[in-house]
Amino acid sequence: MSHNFIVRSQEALTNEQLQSALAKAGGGFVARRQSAIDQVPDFEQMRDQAQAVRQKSLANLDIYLAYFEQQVEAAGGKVHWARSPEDLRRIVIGICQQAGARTIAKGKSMVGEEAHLNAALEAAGMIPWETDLGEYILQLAQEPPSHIVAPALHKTKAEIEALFRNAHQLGERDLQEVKAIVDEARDVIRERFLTADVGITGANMLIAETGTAVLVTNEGNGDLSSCLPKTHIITTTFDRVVPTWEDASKIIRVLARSATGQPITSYTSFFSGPKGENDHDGPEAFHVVLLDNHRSEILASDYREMLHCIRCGACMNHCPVYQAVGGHAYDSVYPGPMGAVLSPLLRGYPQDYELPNASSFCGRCESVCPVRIPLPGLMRKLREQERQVAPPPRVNRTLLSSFAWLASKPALYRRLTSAGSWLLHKLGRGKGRLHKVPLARGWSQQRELPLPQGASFQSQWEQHLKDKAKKSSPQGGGRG
Amino acid sequence: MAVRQRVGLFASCPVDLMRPSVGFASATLLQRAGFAVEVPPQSCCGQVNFNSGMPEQTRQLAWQLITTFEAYDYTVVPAGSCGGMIRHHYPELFKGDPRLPRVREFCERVYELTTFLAEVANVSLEDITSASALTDVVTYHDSCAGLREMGIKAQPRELLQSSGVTVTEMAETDVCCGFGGAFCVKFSDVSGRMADNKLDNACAAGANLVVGGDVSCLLHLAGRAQRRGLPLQFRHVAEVLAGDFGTPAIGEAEGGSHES
Amino acid sequence: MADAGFRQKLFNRILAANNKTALPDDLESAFHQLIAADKGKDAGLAPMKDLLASFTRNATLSGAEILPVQALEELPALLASRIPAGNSLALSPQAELNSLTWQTPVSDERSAQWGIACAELAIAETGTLCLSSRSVPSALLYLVEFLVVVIEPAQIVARQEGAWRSAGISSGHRPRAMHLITGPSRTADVEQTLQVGAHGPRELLIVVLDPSSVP
Repeated sequence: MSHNFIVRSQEALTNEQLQSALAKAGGGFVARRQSAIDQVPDFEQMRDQAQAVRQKSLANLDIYLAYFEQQVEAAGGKVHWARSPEDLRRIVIGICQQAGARTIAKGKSMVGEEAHLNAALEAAGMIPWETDLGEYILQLAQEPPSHIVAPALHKTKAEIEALFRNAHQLGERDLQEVKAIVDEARDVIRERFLTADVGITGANMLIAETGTAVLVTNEGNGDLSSCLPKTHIITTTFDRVVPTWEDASKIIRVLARSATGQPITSYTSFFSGPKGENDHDGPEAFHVVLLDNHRSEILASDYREMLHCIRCGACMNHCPVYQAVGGHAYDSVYPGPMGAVLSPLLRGYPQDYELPNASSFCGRCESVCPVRIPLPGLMRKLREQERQVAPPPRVNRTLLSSFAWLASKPALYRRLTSAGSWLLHKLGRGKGRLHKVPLARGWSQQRELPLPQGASFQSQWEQHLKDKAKKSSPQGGGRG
Repeated sequence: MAVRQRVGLFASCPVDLMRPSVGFASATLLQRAGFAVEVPPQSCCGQVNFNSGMPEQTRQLAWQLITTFEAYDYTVVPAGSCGGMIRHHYPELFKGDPRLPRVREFCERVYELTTFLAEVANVSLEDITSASALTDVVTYHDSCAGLREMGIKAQPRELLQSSGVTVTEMAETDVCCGFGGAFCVKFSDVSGRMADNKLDNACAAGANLVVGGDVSCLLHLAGRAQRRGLPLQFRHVAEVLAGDFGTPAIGEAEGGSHES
Repeated sequence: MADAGFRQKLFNRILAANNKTALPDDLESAFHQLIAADKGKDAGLAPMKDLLASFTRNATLSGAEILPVQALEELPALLASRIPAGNSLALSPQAELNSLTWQTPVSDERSAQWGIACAELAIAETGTLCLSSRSVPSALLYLVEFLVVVIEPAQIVARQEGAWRSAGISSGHRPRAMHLITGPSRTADVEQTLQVGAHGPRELLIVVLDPSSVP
């Protein structure tokens, strides 16, 4: 197993700024989600409906996707197919060049992040401007996002102020208040919406029925990026398709409640094609670029349920591991529990298999997932797969196999383990615990080792029965 | 009285190897509730291998446990984690296996201790529990598998209340303590931070005794609290309910029990 | 183009993953057969009684302000009392609005601080307004700092499903953009502190026309 996550998590635990940012975000998401759920009587039913939509969408994805493409074209748009992140970059750059683009207004797109689109656009001589505040902060900081909904969650206000001071002409102006930071970004970015040649956004869903892309935001930047520039490019993945608008509503109903604890976000927009003759405004060209990047393999695998994910981020908001170390420790665009499953499947880097191990299997992610993805179960399956593709060190394998072998021989198991327990007990000389334990550094660098009480329960129980028989007293129970 | 029903007590590895007093306390409670308690030869439920991605070895251990315990009317486990492994994951492990119906039938008769006492045993809880001697401020740690796989939340609290113990709740009771089996040694630093959060919450609630249903979590929390020198002690809920306060709390020295 | 070749490969993979061999010859009827069971149906959730009250409550919770007005003709004077001197108002090109005499300077959405539009529908379950690019320029809804939207009680539906039915959404009728707007624009990207007025309107004022006309 790689130790990339361990090294990064150790750095994260001692990074004071990160810890302060995480502490400020931490419980807020959890409390807001709970309060949003408490306000409706039928949230569990909403979850069931959303899960059913994702299941049926994938079950006939072939038909829905073909129909989606046909409808986008009927509306005057075009669908593009990208096997790899490299394909996606090439296709997007091609569209931008055809549009004669110099500047690009970008809404938040995790697929754009997955494909490292900004660097490619810059290399092709264009200027991509992130317009989502969180993404803009990260563009200034030249950092990847650490959360799929709140990309700059790891940044403190002071860090953001410093970034703005460095990049903007602020003079003596004070950015102490959050409002001042938001207003500053608003002023700077507004001009960019108005002058950008191309707008690129992601999509939360695609609706087959009408060839529609659904975009869920709070800031309004996605809408401005889509309606002001002459060309709108949507970068997303083919598995986002749902059959109808009614189906999209089922997802929308659980998405914001799970993500930010809102009943619905400020803006949910449905984009179908370029401006038609009956529309007041909109782009002249409408492109949907669909990325695969191994998702078609996931569809055919035991991990299909991972494609149900609607990217709400509830799993990471409720994950005690994510909350302790933040998203960058995962070294992937997709952090937290959903990322621990998705990263090995999308990238398959050897170090990605460490991620499904970095879970205590507490199950809180599964308990809040709006579409009930069995995340710990999928992580367990990946651990099983890891043993095949990248077997753990021989010593670990031998240890676990030996334990299983011993455990399959109850009589021998009882004799050996009881003796072991007794020996360990004696090592403590009545103190009940050890400070340092040879061969158990992983335990003892954080904790004292409480010691066994003596011989094992099975041995003591046997002795207890013998004693009882001797005394032939009817009193049962305690050791007396 | 009708023929006493037989309970097979599956102690679980942490109880068997580290804390036999929990096994005895469990037996006491079950006997007080009118059951005949037996402890057949046993080893591990297979969870360690299961979570390490070794389903074949897990199935062998599971089948061994099933054939050992299926003769009893009930199998009771003083651990939500191992109980969850059996009830929740055994049927999943035997999916597509001809033995599945037998596995299912068995699993339905497997209970975690507090659930069994509160919901199945059909006894007056005041009659079987006896913790009134306790003077500590008690808080309860919900272990994850018990809470989320087995729905254990109200049962131990109900039992503690009927035994005369008031539970002072801490914040974030549904958040993991960071044990997680091999996780706590592989990802030791993260696990330590998670334990600290839990311990800080327990201290903030003013507790000095943390009670829980899984010895594994308690060993980890006790070890961390003792490393930090926190004024907290740790006991399994069975010991408290059975009134066994003579045994030193987890990781504490002999002869220096916490009442002194 | 290279991606056309991949398109076929991708479809083959998806078909194989779903245990199928080919797309149906008649895609149109295959698609409509699949959606027939659910299309046009209600949400199947708890029924809602008083739609206007639910809408008002949920819109208020989202940070919008509700302004009951007896008749559209009162609006120019009411807004004139709120719009500061020097500000201008962008009118959505809707007949109801353009037939009124405004007391505020009117300009386009790129320079106006205020904008006004009439909604097509409103959704009670979340206090949401529904406006499409067929009736309103999208840019007006997002560029102004203060957005005023007019609705009548009869336009309120219980849930989104009802809105799609009322709007007659189908492949024959799909506006370029359908906007669901709930409250003012906001962000929590700085330390998860909620701040209203990100890129879109800082304030959303919902004018409810003749509230006593509840159907």
